[in-house]
Amino acid sequence: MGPPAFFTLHQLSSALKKRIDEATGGRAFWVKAEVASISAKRHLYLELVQHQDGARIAVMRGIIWQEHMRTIREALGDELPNILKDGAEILVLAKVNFSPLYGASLHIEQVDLSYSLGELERRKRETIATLRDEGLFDRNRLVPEPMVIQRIALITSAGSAAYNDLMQHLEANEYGYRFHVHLIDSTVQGDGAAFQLRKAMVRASTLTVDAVVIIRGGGSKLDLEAFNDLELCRVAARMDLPVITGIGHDVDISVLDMIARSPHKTPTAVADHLINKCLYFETGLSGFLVNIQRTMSERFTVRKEQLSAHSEVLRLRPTMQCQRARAYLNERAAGLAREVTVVLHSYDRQIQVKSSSLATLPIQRLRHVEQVRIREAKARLDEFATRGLSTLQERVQAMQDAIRLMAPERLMARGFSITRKQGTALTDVSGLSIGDEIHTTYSHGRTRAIIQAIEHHERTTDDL
Amino acid sequence: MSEPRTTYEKAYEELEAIMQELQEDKVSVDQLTTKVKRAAELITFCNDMLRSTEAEVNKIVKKLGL
Repeated sequence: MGPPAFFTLHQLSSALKKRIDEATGGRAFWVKAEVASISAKRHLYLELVQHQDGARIAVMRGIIWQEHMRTIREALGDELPNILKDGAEILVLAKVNFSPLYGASLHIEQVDLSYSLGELERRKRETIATLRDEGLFDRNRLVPEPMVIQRIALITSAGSAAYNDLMQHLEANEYGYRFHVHLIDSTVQGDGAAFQLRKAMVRASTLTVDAVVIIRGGGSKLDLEAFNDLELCRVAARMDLPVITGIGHDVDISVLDMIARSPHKTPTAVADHLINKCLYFETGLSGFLVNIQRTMSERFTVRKEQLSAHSEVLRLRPTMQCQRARAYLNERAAGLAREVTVVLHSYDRQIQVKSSSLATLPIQRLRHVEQVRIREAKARLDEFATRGLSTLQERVQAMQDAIRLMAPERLMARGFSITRKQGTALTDVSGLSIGDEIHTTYSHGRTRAIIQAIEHHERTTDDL
Repeated sequence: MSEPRTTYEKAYEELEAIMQELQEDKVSVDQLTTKVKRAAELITFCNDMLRSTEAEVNKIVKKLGL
């Protein structure tokens, strides 16, 4: 029995190459792959891999020929070392080549920049999401920043432009503030930067400082990758010290900036921030002092005014009250005097009345007595008149009767006569003398006689 | 005299009360002297307190410098 039918290795390889060339038709394809390793000789050789669940599921060599390298370098610019590096995921335009001698490989003609940037962005978002999930995203942002930061743990590359910028700004501040900077040297870009930064951060946490400052000079966008490193951000977020960044970029912002207590664009901006804090604090202190003085002075003024107003009232009020009381008393006194005068006047008048009446009273009294007496007399007279008139009339009648009886005619009729001398009736002889002519009247007639004799004797009735 | 342990606020409160009584003519002439005397004491106390506090504050502020 002979050997089975076989191909030589070259026959097989050639057949495969033929089939592959037929299948690809010499066309280029966009292929996504991860750079496992990279080595630059005359040309650039890459080991491209694909992982799934942590295990490699595909491996292929990639080659960038020198002539393609030129165009690729132009397209990627500064970002080239960040894109074509270990661990980077890249999108390349490549032709499949199968060489009987070297096997399958990809001849890379273009590398897509925007894909790489997009990848960076995607990883950034992943990091952010993870930090949020772990509750770390806001942790350092909520760490209180001291009012004054003078002791600083500075993480940066020693002797770099960023370091010099910061130090020069801090030292040359016009206010004379002093800063104590503890430098922790660390690479800030390229491979291993994230690891070194992480280590530096851990070291900073052991120092007695007010804050941790991380700075870096300007650089390409992908240079920021170290600052997007999940592990570095975790360590930074967990710091009890405030993290201050000045990573030097214009457009993009790193995850470390996002989680830092105080992110700034440049090292110079960080220096300004630190100086301004000192200045603000000092100004605030002076302001406080001025405020204290002003507030106190205002309060004192208000209180003094209150007291002096009270003093004024106290000076005037009781006096006023006393004056009022006095005025009231005076008024009362005046009233009293008036009343007394009125009373006195009334007494006076009474006395006047009395005294004047005293003058007229006896007369009046007398008049009164007389009137009474007259009245009584009149009454008596009236009574007498009424009562005694008849008696009187009777008496008068009797008297008239008597008078009538005693009328000369009657008497003469009864024998009596009237002897007159020179017209005067004679009742005795005492006025007569002898020779006197006497006339005697009778009842009827008269006689004239001359006295011859006169006899005197006692009155007797014997002659009658 | 006002007891030294009284505070400005207490003294001032009492002063206010007396002033109000005075201004509302609630103080009889009999009480007037006592009340006015007390008010004057309180004013003196408050004034002294203000003066010494102000001096003290100024001293402290001056010490702070700035």
